Amino acid sequence: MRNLNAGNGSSFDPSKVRYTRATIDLAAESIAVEEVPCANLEDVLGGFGRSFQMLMGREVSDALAPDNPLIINTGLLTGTNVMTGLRTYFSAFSPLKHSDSGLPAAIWSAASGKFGSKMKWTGLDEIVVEGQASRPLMIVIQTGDDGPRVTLKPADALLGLETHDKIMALQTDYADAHFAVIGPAGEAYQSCYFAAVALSTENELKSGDDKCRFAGRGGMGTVMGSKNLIALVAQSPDKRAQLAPEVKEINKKISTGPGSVKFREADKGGLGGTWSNFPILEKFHALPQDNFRPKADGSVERLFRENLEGDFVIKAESCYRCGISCHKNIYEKQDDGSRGAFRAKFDYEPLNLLATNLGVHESEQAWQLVQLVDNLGMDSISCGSTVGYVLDYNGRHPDAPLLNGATFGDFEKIRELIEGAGRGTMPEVGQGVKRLSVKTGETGYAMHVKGLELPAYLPETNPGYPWAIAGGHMTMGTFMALVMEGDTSMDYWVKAITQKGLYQVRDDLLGTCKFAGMGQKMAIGAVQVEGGIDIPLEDLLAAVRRAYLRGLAIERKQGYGLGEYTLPSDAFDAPNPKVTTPSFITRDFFAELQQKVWEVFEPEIAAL
Amino acid sequence: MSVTVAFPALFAERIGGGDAMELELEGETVGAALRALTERHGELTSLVWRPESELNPVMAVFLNGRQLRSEELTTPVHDGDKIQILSALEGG
Repeated sequence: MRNLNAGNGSSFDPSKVRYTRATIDLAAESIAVEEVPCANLEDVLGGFGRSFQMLMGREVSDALAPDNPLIINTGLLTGTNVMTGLRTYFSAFSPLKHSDSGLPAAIWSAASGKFGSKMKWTGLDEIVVEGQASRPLMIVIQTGDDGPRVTLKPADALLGLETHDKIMALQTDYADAHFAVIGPAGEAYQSCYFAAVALSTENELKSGDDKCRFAGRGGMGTVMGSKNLIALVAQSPDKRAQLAPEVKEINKKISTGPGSVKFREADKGGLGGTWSNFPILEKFHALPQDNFRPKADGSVERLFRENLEGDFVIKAESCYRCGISCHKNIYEKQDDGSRGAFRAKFDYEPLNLLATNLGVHESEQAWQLVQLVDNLGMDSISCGSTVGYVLDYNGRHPDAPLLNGATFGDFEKIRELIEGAGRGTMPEVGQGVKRLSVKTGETGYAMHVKGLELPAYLPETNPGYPWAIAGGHMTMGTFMALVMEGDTSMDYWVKAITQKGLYQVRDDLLGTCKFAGMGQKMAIGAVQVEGGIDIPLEDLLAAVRRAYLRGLAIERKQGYGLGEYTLPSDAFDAPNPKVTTPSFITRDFFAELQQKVWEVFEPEIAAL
Repeated sequence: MSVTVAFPALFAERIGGGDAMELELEGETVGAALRALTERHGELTSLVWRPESELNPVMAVFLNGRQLRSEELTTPVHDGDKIQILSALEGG
């Protein structure tokens, strides 16, 4: 990216910033690399702020068709010295998230790891993948003499390998490189719509352990698979600028300040990672269990971190140059107490949705399910929520169950369902809970909004879910508000959605991780110093807001009616008396909330 | 006693700040200092306290880097002590 603004106090002109884009037509196997002037600040910041502008201009009716572009890009701060500036974004129309009209919604999914930094260090900011290859291919991006060099290579040798095995195979051919790959689920794209893209990490390449990071939401691995694109390679020497004192201060705040306390270890003044949500949510009986239906029977406590410390070695590890160390990696404990083989990474979402929400409470079973989903290359949230629905349905219909008849807690049969989804033999699971529940005719307990499965927060605690544009919790910051504050007033929730929650997506333009916990002043400081973009905070926030609203605008363009901005109907009709947070989301409340939220958003969307 | 109460952007944004903040407040105990915080900034009351005057169970409180249990809010403080309060619930 080149910034031609003078930077001498004159106003910032986005068109004087140029980014480098490679457009690849897989059918023709042609590649065009060009420098593109930015049209606005969202283009400069990157991520979905840029990619959604391209998707807004496309007419796509089938996410698996060749005319669905797959956009792979970075944010302004990806590959910079700002701690957590590691994000890569995958954007496209989603095979999973779709309106009732059948049209696919646009989505993006983000992951850390080091692929995005390496890609940026080759000189490339964005790849637009068009068409469908007639043979399995991979894209190789390298540092050339006068800019990025992009080539296509055969990928037949990678077919059939699991995510980690693909990455390790590529490492033998490409030194000083990082990788983005699909697993068996992405290869089975016609049957699995929630396939993820796995990105390599430094730790993975050095240790040989399967420690990928995942762009999971919305089936971006499925889109990759549909294009016969099996992998991407970014090969470049590390290129780090000298660390400015201001950035050093920002990084110190990220790694030791209050914004990341939750994710750090106790010996770093932290609370131990997202996993520690288990005991907090269980205080309210708001921890999803048995398809989002907490039982308040104490069984979930068996997977509290404190109860696993004796059985495993739990080691906090980190992404490249990140001081937060949010990865809580589980290792076998040897007889002498030392660390044995790597087992899995325990985060809140996968551990809940692939274990407690499926009635699985044994740690040995939990890590196997978490790692199975990773190795097959699927989104833990969508997979777990869909399997949860199957188990729930089977419990309600013991005489005519779905598939293998699995019910809550039946580990072996649950494992079969996950394998079936990931290997393409059970499309009923792999195509997601919205489609499955429409087929069964029992939609009330299908835990999705707008076709995308819910993360591990109960729908009856979050009326903001329907306005999340690419995943219920990471793109609308209202998912913890009720538990945190207990406020049930209309005014509170309208403001929570329209004035605060949408800014959750700020980091999805910048290239930074939400776990950095950067306040707005820190973020604008990083943009100014390390991004080299001299803009005021209000301009940054306005760009974030426009980008978010564009997400809603694309949804409406893709056929979403206002009635689809709702919750699973059981959230209204079958409140769980075990949950101790206030029960307040009646149909009347929600109808008024819808009206008031759209009164704010609709004029702004019209003015985009 | 004069103590520093530190809190993250989640709190600061409610009282006009854009980033983590620290305030100097008076109080004889940890709980009293937190009361002083919410008396000065009523917008923070629902984050810090439950209606029954108990600490919000979602919040984590540290005194000089040591995490306190909710029943330890009666811990006396000394001039220059640092109290930190933040949400123990985060997504991921």
